[in-house]
Amino acid sequence: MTRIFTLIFFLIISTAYDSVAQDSLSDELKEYFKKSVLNKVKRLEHYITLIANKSMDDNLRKSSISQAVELFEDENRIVQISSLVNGKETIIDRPVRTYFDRLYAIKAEKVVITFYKVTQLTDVRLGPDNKYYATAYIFQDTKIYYNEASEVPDYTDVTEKAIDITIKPDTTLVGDKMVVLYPAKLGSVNVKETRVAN
Amino acid sequence: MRLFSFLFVFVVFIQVCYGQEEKRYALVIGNSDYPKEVGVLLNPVNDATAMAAELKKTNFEVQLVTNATYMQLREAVRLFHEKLSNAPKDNAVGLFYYAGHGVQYQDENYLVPLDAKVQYEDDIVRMCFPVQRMVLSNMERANARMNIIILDACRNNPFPATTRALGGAGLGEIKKAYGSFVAYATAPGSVASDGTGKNGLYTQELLKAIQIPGLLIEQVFKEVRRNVLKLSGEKQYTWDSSNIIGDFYFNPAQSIPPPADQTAVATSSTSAVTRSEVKPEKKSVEEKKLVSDTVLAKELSELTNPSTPFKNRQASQQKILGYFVVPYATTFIMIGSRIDERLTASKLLERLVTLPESVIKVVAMETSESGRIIEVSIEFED
Repeated sequence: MTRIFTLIFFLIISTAYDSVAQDSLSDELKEYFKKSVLNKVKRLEHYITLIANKSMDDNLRKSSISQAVELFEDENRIVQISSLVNGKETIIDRPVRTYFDRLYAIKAEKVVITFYKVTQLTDVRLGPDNKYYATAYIFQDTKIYYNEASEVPDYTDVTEKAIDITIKPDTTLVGDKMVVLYPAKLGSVNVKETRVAN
Repeated sequence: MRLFSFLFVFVVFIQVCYGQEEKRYALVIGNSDYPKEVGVLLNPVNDATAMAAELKKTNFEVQLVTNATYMQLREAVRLFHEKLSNAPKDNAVGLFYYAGHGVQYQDENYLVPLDAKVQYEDDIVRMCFPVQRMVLSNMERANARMNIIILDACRNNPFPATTRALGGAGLGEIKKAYGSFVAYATAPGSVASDGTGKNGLYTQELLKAIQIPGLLIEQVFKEVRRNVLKLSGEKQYTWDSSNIIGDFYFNPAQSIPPPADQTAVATSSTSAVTRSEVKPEKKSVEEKKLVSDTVLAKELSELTNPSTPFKNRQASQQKILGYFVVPYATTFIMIGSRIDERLTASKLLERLVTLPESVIKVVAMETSESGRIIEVSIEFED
């Protein structure tokens, strides 16, 4: 019986903490989080497009790999890639840097990756570890041409991906004032759905 | 009844934890009397002795070690780790201060003991004392809520025969330090002079700054940076790296009210979320500037211009870097009234050349006496 009371006590405490934490987020802070996270996701999209594009300056593509990796919490995060063969979806996990390196070196004459639909973002929530969490959903259109002259891609798909986002508050001095920073970092990127492009 | 007893014990436990005065432990090391071939340093023992005395005044229990051999360093660090491990959990602060020769090798910073005989680069690993592996990792495993490491060690490379192998002078930035504040006498990879007075320039200014009441640790080291930069004729740019959330005052303010523009600092004992978010303001008095806000903004925007060949953008990047006091000068990227990111100048420029075309605005800029940029805040226009 005592155990049940203790459990209920902690449940009440943790629920109360969570609701207080949610309420403490001002509209302005929520708006900032949204802009900051979308900014990072857009940069990721930009770098994926750039790294895959073999017509771009090679040094720019290589620099973009470093920049893309820095968007993530660390290099151990996983980026899932998917493919459709005969209607069957295959998903492979790649560590962040490996994913970008392989995207750079993909054996095809032309790779066109575009992102469509507006990126969707869940509400940002405060976790018990004082970090903020959210998930962003992106829609990626991939076209691979083994012959650059061809107008019809040899492979094409549309993938919905979910990107974990973590925001760990930090402080810094600006002038003589102590300021709180909320740097958003990308976590793992998981495939939600892969389908044939229309 | 048992539930009430449990709650009572729980409340008493919380009160005991939070009611205790914070424990402060410091290990202070100064190495001067190196053999001739390594190079005698004039100031480290003086620096360490003065630092130990100053830290004692700010309630640190200090272990002072001077002219230490490898084994003496090891024993001192072991004892220090033991003290931190036995300290009340999350209610203690550990501080490690080192003045003497230091060297960077393969992503590790090494302190040079008096008995190090380094002829080949491999000798560094065997005979010098690793900061990340032996000092910082031990501190992080202990109970302290905050770890402070101060390295006044970027004096010169003490092993000239190994210069090329070491790939640069001075100490490198320590990575992956969690809950830690790491301060260096110079920016990573550069060197600082030992000084000609009683104390090295860095420690001399640090000793002054920690006596100022009411300054947060970040403010203390910013004060040191400003003064060292000025007194060294803009040759020495101190550096710190922090991922601490809690506050630490060497010398807490007592009856002295905070300056009006530091309200945020005064309220900093509340949770991090309630601390201030401040948009940097333009200075009312115009400072001398090597480059104006408008010109800098235009040149930064130009870096993102896709019609300019990437090679040319990289060349412009190097030109713009010359506007800063050091490549490690601080830059902030703003979103609205908030700072979104803090980057070094070189990192910011490396990023800009890879971004899609953007219009950049300079929000605020702090310059040195010669007009070079110490700190700049920018934002991307929609």
